[in-house]
Amino acid sequence: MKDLYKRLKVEGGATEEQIRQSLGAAPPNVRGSAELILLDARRRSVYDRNRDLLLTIAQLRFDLGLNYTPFWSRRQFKDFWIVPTFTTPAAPPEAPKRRVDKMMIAQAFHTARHHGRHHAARWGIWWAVALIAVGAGAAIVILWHASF
Amino acid sequence: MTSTDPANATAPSFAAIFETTQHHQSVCTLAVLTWVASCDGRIAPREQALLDKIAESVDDVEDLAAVEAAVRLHRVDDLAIACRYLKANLDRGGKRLLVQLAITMAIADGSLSVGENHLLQFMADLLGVRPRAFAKLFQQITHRPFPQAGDPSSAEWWHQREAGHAAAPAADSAIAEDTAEEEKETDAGMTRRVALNVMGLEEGATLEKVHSAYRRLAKARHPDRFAPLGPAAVTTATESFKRLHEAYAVLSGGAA
Repeated sequence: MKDLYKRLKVEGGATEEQIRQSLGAAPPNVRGSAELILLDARRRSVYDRNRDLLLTIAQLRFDLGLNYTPFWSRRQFKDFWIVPTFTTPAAPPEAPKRRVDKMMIAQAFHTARHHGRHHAARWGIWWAVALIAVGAGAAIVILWHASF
Repeated sequence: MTSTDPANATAPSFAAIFETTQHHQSVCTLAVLTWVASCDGRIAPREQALLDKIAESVDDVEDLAAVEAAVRLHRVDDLAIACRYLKANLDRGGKRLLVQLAITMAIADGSLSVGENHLLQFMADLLGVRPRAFAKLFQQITHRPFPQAGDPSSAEWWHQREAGHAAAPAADSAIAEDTAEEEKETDAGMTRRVALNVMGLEEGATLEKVHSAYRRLAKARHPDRFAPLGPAAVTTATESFKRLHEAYAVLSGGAA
């Protein structure tokens, strides 16, 4: 079944005048059917009812994923077949710019083991321990010499 | 299609009924059957009587009257709810029974219109019944082959139809002339022509053929088979069975 309105490029509720105007540009095979059916009120009402039903069925088939089924041939119902359109998703909104902390990134990827601030701090503790130990050692030696 | 009729604004929403009801299966079955009955633009008196009896058979009568009113508007969203529920919640046997029920409703007025033909094809696809199995079911229920749908967008179809020939075996019955005929038949009881139509027989069928067709159809349409689908389905089948019995009585000369 053909969608005569679609072929004539007019709306479903087009007036007789609008249909007559669009007939001029229509291909001959469509023009004959459209003249016979759409310009006669009784025939048009029967045709419209069947067209409305097929539009409903086409929408339901699309919604329920029944487009590729044995009773819905794309060739036979090409005017009603709803083709899914894939649109490119909109780009996500740009995040506000912020200063990148190199150390934070380095820590996140565990690359700051030998060059990080914490590493330096750890060495400082060890230096302090070593100095205290040397100082304590020196004090013991001095006191030991002083006792003689 | 969503209708733009201002009266639709006051019509009940099927979605709201579906959310509040406890009888989901009955409500959805009735929705689909109402759609089948009303798809050709009118509900024939016989179809209306059948729908009324279905509504009586289910406890939640108020709900079902609202379902009928909502579904008659043919809103895609409403129909999608019922279709989705039935597709997801019926087992294989239940789906086949529902297809048989839809066929019974489609031919309740004695003919299969172009719209009913397309709708039955949709139901078969929805419920996963393959074309060959569907043709077999149709043959079982109606005792005749499933016809090709006519094409109301072609000039040939109209020429043949208006010349008095069947444009296709599935001529569109949804016109005023046929409505008058249907009412006449309701008042005067079943005629021989209608009885032959109900039993899928040709004029001049022998008594033996009538008996054989009756046995086959009675087996296929027996109400007990439809019990798993709930009271709405059983009522539809019962009415169809009664009509078959009436047709048999007419054709066999009151032997039934």
